[in-house]
Amino acid sequence: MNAPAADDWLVTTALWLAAIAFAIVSLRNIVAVIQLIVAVRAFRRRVKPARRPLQLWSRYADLSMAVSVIAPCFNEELFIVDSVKALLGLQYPNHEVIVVNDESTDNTLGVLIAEFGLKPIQREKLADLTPSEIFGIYGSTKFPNLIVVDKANGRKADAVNGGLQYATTPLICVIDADSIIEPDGLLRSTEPFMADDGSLVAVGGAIRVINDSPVRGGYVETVRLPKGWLPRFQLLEYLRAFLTARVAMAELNMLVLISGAFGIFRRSTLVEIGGYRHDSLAEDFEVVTRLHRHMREQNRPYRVEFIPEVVCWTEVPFDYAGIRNQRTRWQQGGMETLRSHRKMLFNPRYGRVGMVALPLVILEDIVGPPSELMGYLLIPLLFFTGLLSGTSAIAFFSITLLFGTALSLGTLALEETQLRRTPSARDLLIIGCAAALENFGYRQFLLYFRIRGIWKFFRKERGWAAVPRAGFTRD
Amino acid sequence: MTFSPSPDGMAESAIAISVVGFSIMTILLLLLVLRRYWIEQRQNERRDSLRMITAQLMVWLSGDDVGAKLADAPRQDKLDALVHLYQLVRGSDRQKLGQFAIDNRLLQPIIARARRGSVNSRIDAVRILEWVGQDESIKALKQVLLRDANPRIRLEAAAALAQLDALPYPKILVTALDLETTKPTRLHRALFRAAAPKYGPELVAMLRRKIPDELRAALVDALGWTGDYSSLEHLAAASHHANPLVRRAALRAASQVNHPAAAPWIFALLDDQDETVRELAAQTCAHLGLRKAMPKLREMERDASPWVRLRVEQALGAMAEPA
Repeated sequence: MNAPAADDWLVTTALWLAAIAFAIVSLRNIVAVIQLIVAVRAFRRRVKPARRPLQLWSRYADLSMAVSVIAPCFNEELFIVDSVKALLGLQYPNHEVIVVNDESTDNTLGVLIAEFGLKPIQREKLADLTPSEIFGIYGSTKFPNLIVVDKANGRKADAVNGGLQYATTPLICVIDADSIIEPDGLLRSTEPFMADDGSLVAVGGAIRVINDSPVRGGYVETVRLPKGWLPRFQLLEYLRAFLTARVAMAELNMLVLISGAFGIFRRSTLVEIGGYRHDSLAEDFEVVTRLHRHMREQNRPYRVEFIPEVVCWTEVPFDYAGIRNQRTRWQQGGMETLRSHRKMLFNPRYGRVGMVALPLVILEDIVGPPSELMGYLLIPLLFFTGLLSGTSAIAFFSITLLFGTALSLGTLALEETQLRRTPSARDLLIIGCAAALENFGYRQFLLYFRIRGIWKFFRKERGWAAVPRAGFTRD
Repeated sequence: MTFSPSPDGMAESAIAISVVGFSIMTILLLLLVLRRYWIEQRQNERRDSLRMITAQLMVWLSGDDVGAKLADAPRQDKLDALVHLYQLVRGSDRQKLGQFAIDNRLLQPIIARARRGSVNSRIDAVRILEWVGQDESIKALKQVLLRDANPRIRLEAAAALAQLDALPYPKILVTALDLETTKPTRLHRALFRAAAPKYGPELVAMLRRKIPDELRAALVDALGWTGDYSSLEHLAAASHHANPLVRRAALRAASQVNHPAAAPWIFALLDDQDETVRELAAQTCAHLGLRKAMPKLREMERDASPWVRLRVEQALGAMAEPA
């Protein structure tokens, strides 16, 4: 091949790659716009929830199904008492709290024993879901609905399974140790089960960012906007994820992700599929995908629902190192899950989940990030080599920017008109500004973290890097 | 070679569209923020208004005339204050508040909304009628139950009528909620329980008909809430039903009736072939304090089912505790 022919080939390839990247990024944007439209329709059609907990309570107190709240904990000695008290104090007529101590190296268990008057008890193991050794089961002399399972360390999924083995209630609520559930969050999120014919297997709820809001006795005292821009950008991401993507996917009956920070599952189905997988880096995505797979393979009617009301608050990483570790893990975990369940992809047997939902995950998580990266690299390259006019380069970027900002602002408008949980008009304006600002730096960092996750997935690196947290603003 | 996948003209258009788009978004964001600011300001005023109306309503409840002071208050504010207060008072005060709603013609628009409008709006109206109560609301809710085309709204109306202790005959309920063709849920079960004290004989009459097992189970379950010991003979009959759902319903009802005359058939169900029936029978023994079952329960500590073993352990624990 002579030099001019090689040049032509390179140019043609670069142009084609740029065109493909642009097409994929546009397709992602179109999917996001469709999700936003479906979410708006879902919000318009939904029956407004009770305005006050009192109304909710008086309507459903007699109907509610018993729930076991499984709270895995590891080295939580400072805050575990507050957290458990808040769980015990949830507005729910019939719930038990199963705290799973995942072999904390601090005095978490000692604090629990002293505060709640724990005594060793015998408890029938109703399922065999973890290979980890169970050191002991404790019951509280003060709170009959509190159980503590002390087990060998095995990370969150294993700890949840450890608690699930001893749960006796028809519903299971799985939370993160650093989640703060709204006082009426359980009541709201179990509401769909009350008029259910037995086909509902899981319900997810919206989770919001709690950084810099004061927490007293395990409850969020006042909701405040996070002070730093990084948590604000993540707040916006949470809004997009929970109010647009999940609402839309649930509306179309193909929700494949219920956040690990808060999810309600029918116990019998969760046990049937063997609980959470211990070896997954994205156990929340994996378990819901497996639920779909199991129910579809058995030809059983089932539903997975999502309620957009805020049921839980969580703290997001406050620095780039934290986000890097978190997003890299999410990316790896997502790809692992897709690999494990590749049989479902484009397989009509798995209905919309196999034909649409999982392919969308591929578009978003596997094909999307490299395409976006290609776009960022190729368009300036083509411009500087004179192959692309300056006007065209600016047009590409401005259209991408327009889509990104419009989707965020659309979601923000949806939140404001339907839920209105942003603390004030001033905060609304700040989040609106964040919707534009996140396009300059933050999104590119996220892209880097995703590419890093893809790289680690292919290199089979499976380390679990910690995500540093600042800790709640507690009194 | 200079490549423009879009000719420069198109690119310029795209840039122009982006600029216009950003300008529109900026304006929309500002409007959204201003709207929020206005809502915040209005919320403060409305909070004051609601506080004033609530205070006046409380004065009115104590017998003083406050008609003139409330005359100018917005109708929606009056209704909201009334609904809120209604949940906090009992007895004759509730009646009075209901009468206030009628006298001030607060219910008419809500009743109209319950009959037409979007599904959301109708459900919202049904819930308000439930909170306010009164004959007018009950009449409107019954019409919704019988006539609304949407099953979700009919169910909502039935739930409201249950709260107001004004459910129609179980047979009407079954027809209105399509329960001969759809599977009853926990909500339906709760409705039959609510209807049971009034309509015990009707429930028994329905059990004599040929009905789906799921519906039969819901009706048997409701017999426990009739407050009538004569239902025990029907529960005993249900305990022999082929479907474990019905046998379990009989046990739940027996727990509620709480009479030791049910002991013989409850003991028999401790040997049931279905593990869910055995575990519930063990729980029922504990609930009724049937200590004669203890030897059998001790045998059952070795039951093959871990669920049965768990419930037996709990039952024995409960019966061992001093009463």
